[in-house]
Amino acid sequence: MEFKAVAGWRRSVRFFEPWREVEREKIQAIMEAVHRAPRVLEVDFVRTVVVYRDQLKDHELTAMKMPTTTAQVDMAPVYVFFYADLEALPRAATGDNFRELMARGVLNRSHGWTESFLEEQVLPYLRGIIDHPDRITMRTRTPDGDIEGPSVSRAHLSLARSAIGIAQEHALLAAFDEGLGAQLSALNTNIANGILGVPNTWTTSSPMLLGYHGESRETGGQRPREPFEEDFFEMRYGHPFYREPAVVDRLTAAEMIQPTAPLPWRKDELRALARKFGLPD
Amino acid sequence: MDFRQVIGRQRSYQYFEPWRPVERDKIQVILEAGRLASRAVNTAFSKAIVTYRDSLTEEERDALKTPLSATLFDLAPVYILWYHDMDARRRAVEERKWPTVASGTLVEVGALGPPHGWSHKYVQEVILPEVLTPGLDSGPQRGGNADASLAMQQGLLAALDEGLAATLAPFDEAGAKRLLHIPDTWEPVMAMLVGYPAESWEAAGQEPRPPLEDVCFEQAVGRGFVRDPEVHERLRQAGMIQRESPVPWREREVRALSRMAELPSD
Amino acid sequence: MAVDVAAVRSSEATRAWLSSRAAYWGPGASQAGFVETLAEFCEFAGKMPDEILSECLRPSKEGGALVLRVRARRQYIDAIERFEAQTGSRKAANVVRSFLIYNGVAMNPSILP
Repeated sequence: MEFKAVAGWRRSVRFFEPWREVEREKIQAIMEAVHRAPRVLEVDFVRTVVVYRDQLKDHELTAMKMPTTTAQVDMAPVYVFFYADLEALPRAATGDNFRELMARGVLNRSHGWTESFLEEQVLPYLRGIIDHPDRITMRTRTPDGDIEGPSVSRAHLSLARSAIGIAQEHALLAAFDEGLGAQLSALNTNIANGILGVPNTWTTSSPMLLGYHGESRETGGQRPREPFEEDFFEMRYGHPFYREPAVVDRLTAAEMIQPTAPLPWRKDELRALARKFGLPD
Repeated sequence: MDFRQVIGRQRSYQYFEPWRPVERDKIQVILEAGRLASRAVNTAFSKAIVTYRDSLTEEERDALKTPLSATLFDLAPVYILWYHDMDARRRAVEERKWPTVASGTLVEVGALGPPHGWSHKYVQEVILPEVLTPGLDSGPQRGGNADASLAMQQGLLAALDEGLAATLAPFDEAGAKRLLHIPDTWEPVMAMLVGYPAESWEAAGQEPRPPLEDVCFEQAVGRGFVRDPEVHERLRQAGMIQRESPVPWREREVRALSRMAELPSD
Repeated sequence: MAVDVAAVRSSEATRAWLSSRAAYWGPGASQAGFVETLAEFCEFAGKMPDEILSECLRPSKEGGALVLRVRARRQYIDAIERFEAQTGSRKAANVVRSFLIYNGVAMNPSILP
């Protein structure tokens, strides 16, 4: 599928066909796309865990739900959990990742990459992030109280979370390219981490629900956004990047920009979906 | 371009054609793509500022550089600096100006409706006070937000799709703040350096990754996701998986590129 | 407990539910028999609509904002499931869930197989 159409057809899907499993080859394609995601500072932060709903015990699935968790968790047959290993940055600060990239011709002398540059500038830069005094103690909430995890600098945590977001982006788009629906959703990750055996040095973000669409591909239309000029600026903050209508037209023709929700028939569809799955309206 | 090709073309591009400007419409495409990315509670945590190498003095350019990105700022004609707006949630809750969960829009448009247990009253009486408001008292908090990089990465893939090269690199926060008048509540994510590639599309080749089964697990950590070689082969044919670095000609290409850009090579 | 349907119909929570629901789905969405079904549940639970709601959403200690009472919500989730089992009707149970949803108490029943 063309990239622009993939980006345009991506939605937060909230109705999946609960009875239809996802072929493992499609899951592999998604995970390979995640594997090819760019690495923040060339650090191997990202970890993923693919979880099959039907292999969870009932009590495990129930425990993963939060008061705000909604029906799509019961519908989606696959959940993908994303993590960043906070020990990856200290490992990278040995320089081995960079040495490998230098040996492979990715990072070159033309850009200053030599062993002494690495030792004298790059690695101290990384250590500066790791050792920055603005720190936070990672905590895991349990019914018996918080369990303290490692202390990390906020700059370090920020890089880790960026790495997760990049991986999630690849996963979401790859899912839609595979003809699937997906959504980043809320689950109780503290509970999930215990069930999945996640070390306390991994930080997480929203898991991705995955399955075949239980609703139309349009899912009511692209979600409305604030004006473009609220988010993007040119040369300085406060000077909006002018949005050229002809570009919007080009992207509309390429299916990247699609009609904004709500489509006129959305509420009829929603009520029909409620009947389909036995949900209230 | 086919989606799998776009993913496969992902590299840490290092060499841009410094003399060739990027058409403004392609920069808009990058931003438009970012704007459509998934985001929690439909809130705009991601912000970006576009600036141009040739609009900055050498001193101003230097103010943006870090050890990992210095030459990239000299070669790339366009810099898009991506930020996480730490104040986005507070504004969504207090102002309710734009279509977010806080403003009730997702309920109204049928993205989240009664079949999922949501109503306007639920947003007003539970989601706003109990989910979106807690923690706002402590003010903007650093520590990143995955949503900001979801948008950034969707923009980066759009750049590749537009036939451009783009790479992510850190930038100097204080320098950028001074130069671009960045609000105090914006936390830096990464600079996206954009231009036409001076190197081949393959660049050095796909960069190494740890074995998939060491970083991707099935059902529990420790149970590595074992690749099906047939699927791997199909993805190779589709262009998502390409030749790993270094490609055989890389050394000669780098030497030539270094001569061309008058960069050190020995 | 014998429940007067008219009293159920005139309760504040019932009126809020029906008007919000009609506003959300528009005039095409029938509500015939809804109040009677809710009254059946009220009889089953031994509580009137406003009581049910005030158990689930109570003013915070500081006053003003309402706070969702997780335990009360859980009790009503269970009660509605028992009501569904007794009536043999998901539709009837969903009417009760709809009443709570439009009054600000999220309900997420399991999907039907």
